[in-house]
Amino acid sequence: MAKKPTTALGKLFAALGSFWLAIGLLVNLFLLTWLGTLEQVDKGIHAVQTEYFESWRVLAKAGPIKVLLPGGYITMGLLVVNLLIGGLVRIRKTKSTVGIIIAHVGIALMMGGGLVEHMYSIYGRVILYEGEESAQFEEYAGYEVAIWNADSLGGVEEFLIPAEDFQDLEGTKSRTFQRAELPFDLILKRYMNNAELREAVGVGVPTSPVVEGHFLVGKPDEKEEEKNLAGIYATVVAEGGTKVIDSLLYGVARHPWVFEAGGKKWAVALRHTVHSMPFSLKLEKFIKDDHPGITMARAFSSDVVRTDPDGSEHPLRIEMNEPLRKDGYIIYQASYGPQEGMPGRPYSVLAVSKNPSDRIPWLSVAVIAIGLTWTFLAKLLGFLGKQKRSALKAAKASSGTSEEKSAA
Amino acid sequence: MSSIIPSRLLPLGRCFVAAVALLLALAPGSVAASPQRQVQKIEVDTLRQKPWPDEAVAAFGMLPVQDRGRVKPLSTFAGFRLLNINGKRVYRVPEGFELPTGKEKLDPVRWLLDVCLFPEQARHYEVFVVDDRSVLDAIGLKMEGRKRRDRYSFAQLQPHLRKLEEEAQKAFAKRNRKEELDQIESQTIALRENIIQYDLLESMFATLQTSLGESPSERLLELYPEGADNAPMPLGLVLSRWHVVVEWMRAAEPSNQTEVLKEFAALESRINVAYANRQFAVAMIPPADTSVEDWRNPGELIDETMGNLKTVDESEYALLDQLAGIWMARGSVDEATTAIVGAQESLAEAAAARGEFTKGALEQTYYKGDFFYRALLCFIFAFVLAAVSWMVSRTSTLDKRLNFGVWGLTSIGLILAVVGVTIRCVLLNRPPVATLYETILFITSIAVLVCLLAEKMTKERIALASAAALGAAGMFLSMKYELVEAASQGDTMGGLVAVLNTNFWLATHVTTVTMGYSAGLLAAALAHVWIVMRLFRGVADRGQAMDTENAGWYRRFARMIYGVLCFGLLFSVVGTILGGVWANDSWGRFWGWDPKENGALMIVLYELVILHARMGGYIKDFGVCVLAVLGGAVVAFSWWHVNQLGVGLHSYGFTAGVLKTLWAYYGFVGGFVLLSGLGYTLFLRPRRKLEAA
Repeated sequence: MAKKPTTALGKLFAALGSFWLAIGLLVNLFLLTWLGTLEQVDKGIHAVQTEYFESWRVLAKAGPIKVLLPGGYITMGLLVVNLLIGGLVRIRKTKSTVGIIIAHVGIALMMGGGLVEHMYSIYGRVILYEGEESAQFEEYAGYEVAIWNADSLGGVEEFLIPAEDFQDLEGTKSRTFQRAELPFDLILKRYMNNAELREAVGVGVPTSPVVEGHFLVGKPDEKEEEKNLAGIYATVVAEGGTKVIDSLLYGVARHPWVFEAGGKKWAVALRHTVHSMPFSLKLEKFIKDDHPGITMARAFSSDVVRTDPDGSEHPLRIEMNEPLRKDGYIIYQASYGPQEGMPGRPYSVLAVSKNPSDRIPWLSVAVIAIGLTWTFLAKLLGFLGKQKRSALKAAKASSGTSEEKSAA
Repeated sequence: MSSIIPSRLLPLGRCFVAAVALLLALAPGSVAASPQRQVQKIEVDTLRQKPWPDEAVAAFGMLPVQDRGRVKPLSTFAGFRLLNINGKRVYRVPEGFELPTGKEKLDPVRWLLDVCLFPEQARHYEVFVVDDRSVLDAIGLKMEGRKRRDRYSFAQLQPHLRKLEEEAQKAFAKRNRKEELDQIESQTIALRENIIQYDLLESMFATLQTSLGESPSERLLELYPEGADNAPMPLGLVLSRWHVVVEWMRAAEPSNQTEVLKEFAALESRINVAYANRQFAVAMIPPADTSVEDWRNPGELIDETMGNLKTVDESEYALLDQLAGIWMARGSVDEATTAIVGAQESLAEAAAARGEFTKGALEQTYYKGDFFYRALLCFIFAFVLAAVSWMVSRTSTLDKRLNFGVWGLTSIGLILAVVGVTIRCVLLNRPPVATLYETILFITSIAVLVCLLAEKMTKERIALASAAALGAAGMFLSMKYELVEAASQGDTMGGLVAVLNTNFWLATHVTTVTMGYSAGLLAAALAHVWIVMRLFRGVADRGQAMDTENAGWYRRFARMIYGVLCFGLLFSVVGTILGGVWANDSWGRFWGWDPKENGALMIVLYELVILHARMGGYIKDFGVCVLAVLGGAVVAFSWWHVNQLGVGLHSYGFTAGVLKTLWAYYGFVGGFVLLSGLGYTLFLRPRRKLEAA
């Protein structure tokens, strides 16, 4: 370590790069990981991920008691600071610490890659039936409200309201959305992250407003985030403040809500957030290759045709462990249907991700491996050297004793 | 370096440790002695008159079958069936049966030969293991003089099968209600499953023959002259001419079709069992069409021919007839042998023509070699020798011989384990760590190898004894887990799920991460030894400081543990990140906080804590060792416990029934750490105060 600091800033700098802080943060991250893993049984992976690792603090369940711990943001943020200060800046730069410094560089690289991924990556999926084509994919869990002119043919301009703008509208909170191009205002309220659509018959007093004989009931979140079915109430107010109609938007509604305003038909839908890809994919055939004699798949793959913006077509195969990488998008074989014995047309579920730091882990694992191997070999050689010196010393001592004996 | 273990211990402590070690090592042998059970003479119509000749056993065992997604020798199939039903791969026919062959030891192939060709006799073999007698109490089977865990014959169970079915259905209903089953209910279901499996084995060959009945029609007799006088006919022959019968059916007036069906009723009734078993029976017929991967069982051939009216290649009927010939030669060992040899040659040839069954002989060698059991024996004897060597003088010739013996036996054990693992790789064309069973073998082999390397460097004999102990523990665990896989999978070489169908990632991620597990467990094992010895030393010193030589020895030993932890960290970090890279390629995300990923991360974090605490001077040798002991629990959590949680994408690794063992281990580790802390406070800490004073 460097010299002992004397100034307050120096002491803070030293503390941020200290061993004790590193140990404390590692122990905390260990506890978060351990307790979080155990809590996944009850809450599911996504809820725990949000609660434990994408948070500033967490009330972790440790058996019958709850323990307040710093969350993943604080822990990992400070760990990066500690790594940079203690593991790269303040560490003694000697022959024996070269390997450790290299390993620290690799870890910093990996954590940097993780941050980039956390901030800029998009994950979703596209479901294609054989013969279908799509240039879009939808997120697993995120929702958006889309508005478009239902009279338009061909390419439709959509007006989008992202989830950040309405997911806080719980209870009676409401928000009005306006666009100059739209002849109406849209009021959204009563957002439910996981909702159930019920008929308002024989249920007593409904807990939410009834629209066309139905109402939404909020439910606790599912263990798997993508199973949550969001719902929200919407009211359209036409130009001049005339109330047109109330509706409810449900995440799995088959058709959008359609109404008239300004002499045109408009459609509104609550749907998983949709993203476009710079190319389209058409599923030619989905192939499930079973182990002989049993129904366990040893491989599944999708034969697709990728059509680029210039119109060129590229037949290719996407299979497990062999994704398609193109223009920063990565398309994986994720799932398929219908499941064994179920009727229906075959379809393939392709996971799509856009992750700018996709290749960083490869680089970081190489750097870390070099650093740790260096350190380990240096320690091993040092250990063997000491062993050898001790053995020589012992041999000398015993020969000295025998000489003394013979002299006597 | 002249330092050796016992000089670090008091003579009393040395003897105590050695005695405990010897007891532990010899414990399995002492349990074997049990009173001989009373058995009665078997009185059935057809008894096997002489032992199965080697020729028959070799040929029968080498009959190719397709089972659980791969082509394998029948001997493997038989081995796992017997293991699953009996809990071990051998059955000893007692003298009390008064059979013409007397007392006999049956391996899986000989047992299956009896089950298939001398079923009446085999039904008296007590092979159905029942762990808790309460299962039998519930179905009304009461037998005197039986232990709580005992074995029973099919003949003994047969009168109670209806009741067994009722109890099993109750358990199924409870399971469907998502209620947890108790041990008795689980065992009831397992026993029912074993009965069904046994029934399928019995009918493997018995259903391959039929006859025309007492009064066949003239045209039927004309079509099948071989069936005159109700003579038995092989199934393949019947199926090969069935297209003629189909023509008769088509030509018949609709009103007359019932009569036509009656004409073949006798013929069909005898093959209905094979047809009914088509979903479950083992596939023994390689298709002539090489583009078809799925082999067929007799029921499927019946379905193809009689149900779907499809054309089946004549060669497949011929192979079926050869198998039927084995059944038709039952009753005579010599005739059956001839039929078996003939069928084996034809089937092996048909499989070879498809480029399959090329490693059948190697697979037989693998199972006959019983490498992991032999390795277990070597490790146990090595450990016994090590324990004995702790009680003799370090300078004696006997000690040198014992040490040589420990080295030799441990090395042989390791070679056997490595050979076994290597043969598995060759058989499966993939790296050695794709299933939990394989990770046990691999991790044990690596741990023993690292121990031997450490011993070579340190020559302290600690790592050597640890190699033997870890090797024995690992091989014992593998044999226990093989039973679990036999029950759940029916094979330890079954097909892998699609995501594991990549040799690159199996060879990189899984191999490195399991080497990290090995090192973590090895460090924990060595740390146990260090702490026990150090505490004994503390008791011996009675508050006095250790002499320089002893202090140096303990420091070197602790440094070795620290080195193993460094080794473990290297492989755990690289393996964990490679796992993320693999997940990125397979599932589209580097890290998903999946329990298995979290487990691997926990090992990395834990080892980083130890290393940083050591480098920062917060802990010394004792602290490193205590944390290394706890690290063993972290590895166990990551390796096994996360698979019990039922969460995440690593669903191919889930397994049942190990939670109790895990909790027992956590309890042991917790108790050990508490006692270590107490020992440290009582015997080591006061001395430090004295030193300070």
